[in-house]
Amino acid sequence: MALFSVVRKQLLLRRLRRRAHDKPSPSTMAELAETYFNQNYPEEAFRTLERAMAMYPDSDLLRNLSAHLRRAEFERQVRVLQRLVEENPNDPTVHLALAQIYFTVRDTNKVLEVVTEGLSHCPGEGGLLLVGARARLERCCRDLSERDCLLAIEDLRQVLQGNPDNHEARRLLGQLFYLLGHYRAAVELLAPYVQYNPWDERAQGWLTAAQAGPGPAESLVLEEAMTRAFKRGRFPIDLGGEREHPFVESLAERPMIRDVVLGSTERLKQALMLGEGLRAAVWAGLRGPEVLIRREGLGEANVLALADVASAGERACVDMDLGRPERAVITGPAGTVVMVGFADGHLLALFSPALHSRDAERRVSDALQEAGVVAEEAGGA
Amino acid sequence: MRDILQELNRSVGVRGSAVVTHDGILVASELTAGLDEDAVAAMASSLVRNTISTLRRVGLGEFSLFTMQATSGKMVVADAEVAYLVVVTDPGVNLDLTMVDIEAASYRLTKRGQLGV
Repeated sequence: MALFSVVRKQLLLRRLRRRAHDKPSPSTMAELAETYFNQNYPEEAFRTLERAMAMYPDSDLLRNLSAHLRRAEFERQVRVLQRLVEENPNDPTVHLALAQIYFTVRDTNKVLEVVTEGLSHCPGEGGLLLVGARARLERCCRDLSERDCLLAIEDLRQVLQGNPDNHEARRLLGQLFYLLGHYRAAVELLAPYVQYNPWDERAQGWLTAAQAGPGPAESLVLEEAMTRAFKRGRFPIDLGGEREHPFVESLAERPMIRDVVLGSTERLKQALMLGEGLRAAVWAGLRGPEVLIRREGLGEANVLALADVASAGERACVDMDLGRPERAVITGPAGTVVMVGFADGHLLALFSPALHSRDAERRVSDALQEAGVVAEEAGGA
Repeated sequence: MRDILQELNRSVGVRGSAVVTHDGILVASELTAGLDEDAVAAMASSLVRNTISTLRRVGLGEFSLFTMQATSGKMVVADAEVAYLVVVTDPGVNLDLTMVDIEAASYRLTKRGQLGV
């Protein structure tokens, strides 16, 4: 019976092959590809589709079928690997294969889920750490998420501790340091990598840029990003040689402040920079201030001092039985400070003189709410 | 000076007013019932002192006007050159209108030079 079924399937395939050959069209080739796929010949199916799409590049039928088959193949592979993971939880290769499958579709959440699960069974496994770091790097580039950057650094350092010659880890760590603005560390990692991999043009580009050093805008981004990351204080990250960096050194001595979840840092920065005349903005939460952004020429400590205005105002309101502060505007010849009260803290924005407007102010608080920094405005001031 | 404050307190929604020097020293106050004179004096002094010191650090120098809206009231601190005029109002008051009276009072305080500091 089984033999009969196999023969019948082979005959069907032969007939479809002949038809696709004699009367090539999107439909005949699509039918052949789909039959290959259904009969468990995915490679043949994708090869046929590739040929067909080269012949009929505008065919919607072929494009849709290709997307459908790739999705189906992905789901099939995931099912198989999930079963293997359940059967062999202590085998790092199956966790790795599953993580890599998810990585091909850039599902970084799933990648990290699999990596975390894998590392709980196989602690310190280099391959898993590497694919996890790659996923975090992806998120770091996509969302400018410092948390992922820092965790990826930890993972990659662990990989390099186990195998100092791991070129992939060196490249990724070099890229991360470059993104974070640690140019000296980036050069140290990328220079030997590029020496052995001269064809890697992207790494070559990072190395050249890192050797050129930071521009003023880049150093600002680094400073703000690192400020937030350190102040959250969640990550006992060892920065090793990076402690020599004066900025990092100064941060290390500061008390940890509160954990603020930033949705999209990039979007927030852009929104803040758009606010006309905005020179600096500080989020003063329940446990302390956090620098959000400041223009060049304004010292971080000075901007943070703006948070003192919020505390003084809050104290004054409470002691005078005025309730909770919702909004304050301090106008002076050199600029305007605006404080907007939120459920869990205050936003203080410093505007250049004559440039302060309610519109710019609203944009700042909208951006903060959108980015998830603050939950809700305290009142409709 | 008290007559200026008393006149200001007659404006709609004004609950009390006080004069505080740039150093945070209370010079005079006229507060309606319900506002603790000591608390207002202490907090107005402290607020002025802290705000000025912070603004100096940020490079803004001294302020000319500080308005604060809170859930149960509003507070305005206006510069009267040699001192600050502190005004506490009801929460629902339209500050844009009351500000005219506050600025007038501030101007009169400045002009009269009655502060003796």
